[in-house]
Amino acid sequence: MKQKTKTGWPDVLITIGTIFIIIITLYPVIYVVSMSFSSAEHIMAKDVYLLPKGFSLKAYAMTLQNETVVRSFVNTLWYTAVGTLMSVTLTATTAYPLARRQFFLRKQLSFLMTLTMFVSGGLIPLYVLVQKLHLYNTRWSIILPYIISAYNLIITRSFFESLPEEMADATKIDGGSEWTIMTRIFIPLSKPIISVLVLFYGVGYWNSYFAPLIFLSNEKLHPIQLYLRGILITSESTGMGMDAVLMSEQMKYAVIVVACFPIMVLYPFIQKYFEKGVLIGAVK
Amino acid sequence: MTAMERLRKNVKRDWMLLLIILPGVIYFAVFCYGPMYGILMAFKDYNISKGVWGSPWVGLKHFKELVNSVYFGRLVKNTFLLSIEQLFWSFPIPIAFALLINEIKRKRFQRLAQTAAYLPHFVSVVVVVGILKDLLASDGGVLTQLFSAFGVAPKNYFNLPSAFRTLYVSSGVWQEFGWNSIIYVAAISGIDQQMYESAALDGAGRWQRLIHITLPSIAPTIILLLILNMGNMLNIGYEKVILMYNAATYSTADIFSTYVYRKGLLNAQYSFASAVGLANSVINVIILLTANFMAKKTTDTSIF
Repeated sequence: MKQKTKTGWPDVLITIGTIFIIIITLYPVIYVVSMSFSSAEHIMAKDVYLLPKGFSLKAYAMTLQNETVVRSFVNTLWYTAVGTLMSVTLTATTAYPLARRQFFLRKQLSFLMTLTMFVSGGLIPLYVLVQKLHLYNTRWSIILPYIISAYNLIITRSFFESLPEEMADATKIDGGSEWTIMTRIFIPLSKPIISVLVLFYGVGYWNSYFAPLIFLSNEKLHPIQLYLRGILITSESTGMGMDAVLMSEQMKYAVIVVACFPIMVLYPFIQKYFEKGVLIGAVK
Repeated sequence: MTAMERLRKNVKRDWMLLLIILPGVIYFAVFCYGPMYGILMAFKDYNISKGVWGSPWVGLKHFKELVNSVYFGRLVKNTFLLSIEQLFWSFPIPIAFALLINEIKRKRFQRLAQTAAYLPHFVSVVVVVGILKDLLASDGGVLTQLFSAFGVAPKNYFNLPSAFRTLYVSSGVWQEFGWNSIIYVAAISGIDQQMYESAALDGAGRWQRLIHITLPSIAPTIILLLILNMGNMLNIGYEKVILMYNAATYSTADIFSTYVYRKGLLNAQYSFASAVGLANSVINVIILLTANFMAKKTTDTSIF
């Protein structure tokens, strides 16, 4: 029996409150998109409030013709694709033995890996290590040190543990190896967790700015987030004089949209996965 | 059977599992436990050519330097105040939002609100700070214009020490309140509907059902997350602080981890910065254990 009460004033208040929250959440996003489609004079006058004024695609033309933007964008694509592929693979192969009840080092390794969520060596020792390993200023410096997150490892292990063990045992009796069990039985059943991992790692690599900031001094390797930091935060314009200032003001919003575009496009499709992901993690 | 024989038997049985997990083990050993060994730097005068082990021991020199430094009091104060203010706002708001969402009767509207609320989580911190800066720009940012409509003179908020914490916490709440509510929404949807029905038969109103059924039902989730949040309290997102602060706002914005970043990476004082980082971690662990202990005593819920 679902309560079918009539709509009273609490419902009106709830609706108004929710609409207010939606506006606060979405307004900055709408504002940036509108600014990116507005013409230069309206951007300088800052009189765009909701919809674009003096519709113009010039900012996008400038953005897509700007070599640094394109190069940074391609770099980010590379880091995200390679990083995510490696992270998901390694997280799955590390979680699998930890989920096998017979594995004799299961408890000890699980404990040591979980511990890294709470204690770490800190920023400076990691930085010194990256230099010692000659990773500094290479593309690997922003992937290898962060390749497995202990949190993602734990949710993957929990997921594997929830799969029926009997199938693994049956394969074993038929003479199948652990490798066969992992690749033929566990991985095909793991679509939900793999989508979650792709999402979490992918967003992480796409949005990361701090690791590139400290590990990459070579500008040719910089990802788009560092470029954004330059124009949004430290206000380094690409050239000198009024023209450059004008240009970066105008491009700013278009670059933000371009940098957020892939995630925003995928967003409606991934919603069911990330809700699931948070909840798999919460069970633990 | 001796330990050696047992080990040989185990390895023989599980050799393929060992092979599969080996790359992961190497990762954790090198990049997680390697830096822990590097903490030794905090007790030495680290010298690149001599390495961590070869550098001379100096005992607690760097810790003494930290405690005696003029900045120590400010760092402690800023770190704690920022953490507490952050916890104070960012912890209850997702709970309130989940409760609000739960009261919406039209499912499609509920879904829309959730979709909107989760979105900012996926925006990078660089973009969040960048947009905030733009909205608050003293020369015609949208929020500045809105404020001046109410008679507030334009200010450069990013150079204002008194505004820093508010900006940091409010933008954080904007970005994460929806995401952090997911877990409470799930906990609420797991509550037995019969409880609500019998309460309604007994004449309990909407508000009473919220207070006497919904809140107690999700209390364990709330407490568990509170402990976890407290344990992570001092791990404030320094990546965001670094984007937001400048020399003008150090008096409220400079926290332990940003100090580590400046001393260690910008001034290359590796040993001193490691000592600061270690001090921060130790305080962190103490807070986590205390929160856990208190929760165990008072509510029987704990993570250890």
